[in-house]
Amino acid sequence: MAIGDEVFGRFWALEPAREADWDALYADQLPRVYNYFRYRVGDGAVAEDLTSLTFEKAWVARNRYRRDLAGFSTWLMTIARNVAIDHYRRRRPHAPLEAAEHIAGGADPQQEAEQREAFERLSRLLHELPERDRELVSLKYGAGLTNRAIAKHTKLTETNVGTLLHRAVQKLRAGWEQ
Amino acid sequence: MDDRFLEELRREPDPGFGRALRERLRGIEDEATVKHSRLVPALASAAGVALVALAFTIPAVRVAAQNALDLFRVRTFAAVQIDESRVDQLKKLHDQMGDDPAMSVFDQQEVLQKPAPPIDYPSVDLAGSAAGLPGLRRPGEALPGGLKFVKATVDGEGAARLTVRTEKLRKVVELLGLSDVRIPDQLDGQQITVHKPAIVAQQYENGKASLTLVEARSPEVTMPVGTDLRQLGEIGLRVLGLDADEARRVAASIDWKSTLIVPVPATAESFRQVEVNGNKGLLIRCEDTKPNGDRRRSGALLLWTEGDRVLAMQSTLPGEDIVDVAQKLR
Repeated sequence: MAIGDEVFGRFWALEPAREADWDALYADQLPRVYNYFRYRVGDGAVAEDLTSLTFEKAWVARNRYRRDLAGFSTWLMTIARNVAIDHYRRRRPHAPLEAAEHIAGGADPQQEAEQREAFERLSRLLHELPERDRELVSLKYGAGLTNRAIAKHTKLTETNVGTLLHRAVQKLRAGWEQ
Repeated sequence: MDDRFLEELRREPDPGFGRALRERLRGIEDEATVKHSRLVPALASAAGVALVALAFTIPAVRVAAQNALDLFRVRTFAAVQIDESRVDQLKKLHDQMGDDPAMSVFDQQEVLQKPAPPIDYPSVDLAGSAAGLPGLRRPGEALPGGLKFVKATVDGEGAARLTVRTEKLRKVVELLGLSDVRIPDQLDGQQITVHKPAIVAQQYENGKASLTLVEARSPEVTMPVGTDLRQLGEIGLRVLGLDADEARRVAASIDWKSTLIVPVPATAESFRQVEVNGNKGLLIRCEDTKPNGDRRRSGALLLWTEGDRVLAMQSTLPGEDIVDVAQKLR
């Protein structure tokens, strides 16, 4: 935003104090959306691409949510879910699992390598789950949503979400221990 | 494997990716802003809250005999509190009016001078030189919290001519439910010219807090002589939500040729008149909230004029601190 708009906008007409702080909102929401895609499609460039696409879609219409920041977060996750659905529609059948080649900067390379390996293994197990279960796990452990919020997104009951997640984690655990 | 294990495999996005995406979004932001008639920011950017009010309250009164135009320049500020419901009404109105909010009041827009895009400079002097604003004010001593100079941005000057349409104005007033407000017929077809001068914004940061000092010559709005500005001001105040008696009383007490009305949302923590080196200023304190309603931080905005210059300081520092910084500018 140009400074003329930013500051002279305030000269003429102060926005309400609850005007969104987009930088803060971006910082809050980026990890949530990014991890949702990591759990949903796997680690690497595709998760970043889908995260970018989600934010770009949301950004152009963000002013609808200038003050209702809680509404913005929910709306952003709805866009992310639709982006994921589109991604799978476009994707060729039996496409290989996205490579877990993305290396994040960190202090301990060995620990990072172990985490990367663990996540790669988890990704393979996640892809063996039914579509709905993988979505629930991604929303719960990737995006960090509560069961109640997931229920709102998926139109399931909160109890149902809890039950399905429990079963999904049991399946993952069984696969992990094999 | 348990919940904790699954959660611990979450990871922060790569910082480079985060930065690149944020920059890309800023680019989208800029494009969107350009589409929304950046040329008349004094009008268009205010539309979210008070475009219509501005159109009424800003016109000039001083007779400029040489060109038969009245000229408005900012010399002082007056705060008018505006409640949330009226803010919402004006925002909805703005949304209904389509892409260019200025066109909710005006017909036609003639670009007289297209503003150059904002340019960042590494020093205040360079920015001042580029903007044609020598002697820019700057902090006279170390800023609170170790705030350091980051950059100075120049937003180029621009000008546009707009034609008033009373039919549109009446619709606006009607949509706001102000059935007793009368729009003068003679306003129809009058042209106003908005000149936005070059603006320099100095940015200071310390990683947590920030401070922006903005300086420009006063923006100017010219319009034909003969308009009852007090009447227009009164209408503008009604648009901002004042009742009929209050609007009449306030309109009568304002010098409309030099006073800029600043609508202050009711959610602002406080606002008061302050003195900055002998000049009257307006200090507004606001607080920001997290999505869950918790307070995140406070901020303040200080507006004042010095000679022909208009200054603003916006910061996440407490209000008292920014008044102190303003007093010590050199």
